[in-house]
Amino acid sequence: MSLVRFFRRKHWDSERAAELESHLQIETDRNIEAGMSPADARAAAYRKLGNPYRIRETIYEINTIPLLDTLWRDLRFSLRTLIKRPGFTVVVVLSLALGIGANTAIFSLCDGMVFRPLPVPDPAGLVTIDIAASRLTSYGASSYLDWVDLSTRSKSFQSLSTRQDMTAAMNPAGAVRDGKPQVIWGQLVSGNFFSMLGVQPALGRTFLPEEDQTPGKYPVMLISYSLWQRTFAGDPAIIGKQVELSGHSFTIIGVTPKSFSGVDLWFRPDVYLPMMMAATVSPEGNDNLTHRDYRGCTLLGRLKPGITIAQAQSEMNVIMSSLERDYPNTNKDTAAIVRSERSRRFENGAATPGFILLGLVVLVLMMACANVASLMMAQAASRIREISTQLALGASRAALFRRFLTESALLAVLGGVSGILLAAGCIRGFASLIPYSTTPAGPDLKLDTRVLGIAALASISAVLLCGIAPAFMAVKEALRATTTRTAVGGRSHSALARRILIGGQVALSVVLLVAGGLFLKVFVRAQSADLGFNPDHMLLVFVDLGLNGYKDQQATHLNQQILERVSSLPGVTSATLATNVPFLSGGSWDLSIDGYTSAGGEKFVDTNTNQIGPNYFATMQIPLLSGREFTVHDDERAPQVAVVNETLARRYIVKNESVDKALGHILRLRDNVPIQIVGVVKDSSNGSITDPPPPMFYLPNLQQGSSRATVQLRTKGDPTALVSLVREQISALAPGVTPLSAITMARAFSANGLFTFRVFAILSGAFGVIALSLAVVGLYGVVSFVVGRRTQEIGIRIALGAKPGDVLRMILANGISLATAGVLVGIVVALAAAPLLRSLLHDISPRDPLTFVVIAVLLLTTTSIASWIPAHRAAHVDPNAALRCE
Amino acid sequence: MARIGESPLQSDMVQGTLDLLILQTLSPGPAHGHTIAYSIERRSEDVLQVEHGSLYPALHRLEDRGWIAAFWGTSENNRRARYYRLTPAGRKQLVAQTNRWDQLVAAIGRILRPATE
Repeated sequence: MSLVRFFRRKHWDSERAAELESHLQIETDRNIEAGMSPADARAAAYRKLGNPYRIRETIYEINTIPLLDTLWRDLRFSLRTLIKRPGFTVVVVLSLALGIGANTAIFSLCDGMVFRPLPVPDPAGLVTIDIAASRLTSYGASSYLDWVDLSTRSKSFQSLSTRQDMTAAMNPAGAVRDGKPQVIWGQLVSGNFFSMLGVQPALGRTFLPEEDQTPGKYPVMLISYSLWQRTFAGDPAIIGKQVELSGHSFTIIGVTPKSFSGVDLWFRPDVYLPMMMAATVSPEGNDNLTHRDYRGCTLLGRLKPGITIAQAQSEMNVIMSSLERDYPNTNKDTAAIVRSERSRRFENGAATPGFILLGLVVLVLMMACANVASLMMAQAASRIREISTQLALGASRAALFRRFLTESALLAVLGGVSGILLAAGCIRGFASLIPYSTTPAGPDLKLDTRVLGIAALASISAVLLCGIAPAFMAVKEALRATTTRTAVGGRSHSALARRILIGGQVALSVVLLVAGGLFLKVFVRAQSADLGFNPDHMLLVFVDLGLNGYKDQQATHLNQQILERVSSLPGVTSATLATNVPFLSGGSWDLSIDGYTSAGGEKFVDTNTNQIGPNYFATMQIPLLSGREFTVHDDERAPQVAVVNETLARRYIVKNESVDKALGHILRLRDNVPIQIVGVVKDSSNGSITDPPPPMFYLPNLQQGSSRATVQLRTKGDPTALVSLVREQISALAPGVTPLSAITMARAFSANGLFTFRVFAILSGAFGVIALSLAVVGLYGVVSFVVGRRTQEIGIRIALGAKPGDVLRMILANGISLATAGVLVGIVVALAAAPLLRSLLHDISPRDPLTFVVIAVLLLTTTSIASWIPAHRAAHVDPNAALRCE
Repeated sequence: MARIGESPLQSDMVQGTLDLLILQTLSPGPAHGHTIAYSIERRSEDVLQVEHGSLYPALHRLEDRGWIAAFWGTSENNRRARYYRLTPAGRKQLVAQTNRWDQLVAAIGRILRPATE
């Protein structure tokens, strides 16, 4: 009520004015009736009423809330002050916007990539189980049957769910009139998945326990909020409608809430089906449910109250050893590893890049704050006369202090808002850096409440950092000025503080530029890294015939036909196909090598693999060291064969002898069928630029292939020119089949392989440039300020015969000494701190001398120029003008 | 700077008393400020001299509390005037405050003229 009155004071006042006027008129009328002259009547009425202005004032004050009133007055005053100094305001707001914006954007990036908790109630209570195929690893997926045993025998878990990624061709025609078929990605989940998470549907319901009991019995599905909006236009009557997935009809029973984007930070499924419907959407679906060596299930659960991870772990150990006894063929040497979802995500330094980026960007904010603080001190120093006048007129120190803080707060709000706008732009920019993927994957970057909270935090700390010290100093110095009447602009604490701030800025910018320089060097080196294959002039076309209902054998056959067709296209020099592509996808299978047992006594080793077509090595230009590569004759009727890379041959078979000796050696998968090595190839990158290639074996896709394949073409000219020709060939051969997508190998490498390198080079480079500009502006400001203060002195010096050169040197020395001190401190700090970046620098030394020298020279040059400009101005001071001022 | 609720009336007359008088004056029906001022003077047989101007802050406060409501009307001699009427809350307040006043007067009376045995 009173708040409403407060803001409607003007309205009330005019209402009262009218009322009092009406009172006066009535009284005047009465007096005239009593016989007075009109003038006397009016005067008597006024006497009787009292001063109407005084009455209005009383009522106005009743409506006033003192705190709001002063706040409002301070705000208006600050706004006027800032508008009067547009240059100062713009520089301060820009500095703050850069600092806050960069922090907000980087936090959003890191949050989307690692930090953000899963979008479910109580995400901290989620626990993962990895099934490691050997003791060499602590990660791995579970088989469906292992999950069944773990979840039924375990007593530690309240609920343990499993899920598996899937893809299907969806025909939504049953639910929307003009719905077009599309490829969608989703997850097969156990019946308890949503109840375990505690996720309530936005519409409809989640799965019932019986819907995940019998294979193929309940064709029901949940769709994501995003798919519901995208494809079904948010139809409120969607529940109960039918859509086709890979030719099978499914009933939509629910829509997941908008806030729920799945339980994988990097993957946002669009549909969820019961695990029991696996066979309808995947050719090998039933095998997934019945084979203990098909490991595609990811486990996630919640422990019973009071049970610790360690207790659950020891229970899992018991269950796993009994499974190992019961199923030695498939479960020999497997182990279950229980971790909290959060700690698993942060394990193995996954969060280190995020922490490094955040550390760097906090330095940027500190620099921005230092810049603002030093500008504010300069402002305050120039306002000492104004402040001392106010003090002399009786303003309280608290009131002045409050006004200073209001001004900083206003600047922080302006800076914060522009920072958030800047961050929104950056976040959109980050999207273009996100790795290429054929799935709805990649980090989901957004300005959510968490991110906005960080922006607010950054703004508040900026106010505290920038506002308090200058306000304190200004009020103190003004007090001294009123009492001692010393000349304004003498040596002062704030001048010293400013020099320290600017020196610190230069030092910080050295640190940031060194980081930027190092990451740039890493990026340049990564770009020209030797991958072991030639990524230029290669086109990748993704096809998955399984989506159109082709079974494995048919699909392999058809893939082979597609390959033959596209090989003969003009402009194609060589063509092959493969299940996985370096930098885009990868796979690993348990492999045993005859005659080899690991140090831990295990036969099977989780080993990287790829299923490839004939001519793979020729097309990729990976040199063959020994033996032969696969041909069309290595099909399902021929004996099983393999090609291995040099590392595998050396590590497990030939050691230091010639790799020729590996030919003829026998490898086995879990099914124990002998596979003979027929070739050894040179190592090539399997998706990493910096790590040495791991042991790797290749199998012919005609023997071990799947419906999913990537056609790889080596072309004479621009590979993208061939995309439409290839599409035509495929649809001519198999009507209805369209490639999922097509990109060049060079782009896949650049987008995915160089992702981290590029992010770090761009961001740390940007931080460095921001830092350098802030430092240069700061130094320029402080030297100009010195010149301004010493104009009189300089005038006297010139009048007494000092040459412009002497003045120039004197002022220049002032700036350069400060810059040099800053650079030296910065280099010491950078030398000490650079090893923190080691994990991201790979083979580049964190104390790379060239980088340090270049940065030092760069900073000394730019800061010298920044001090030269005001020094030059000082040298040309007109002594007459200088002496007359003041 | 004035604090909330401070009023020039305080020295002349207990603030609550003026509020009570205004409410009582309005209980037969709506009236404007001029009428209220004269009515209080007349009915107190001129013992209570209300400074007309000081009436308005009190009216404002009562309106702010929702005890009285205002509307613009025309006075007996055809002047536009701001009329006040009692709201239901105001009527309740009048009863409560009258009771309290009676108790207060009785109590002070007992102190000033102790019952003699």
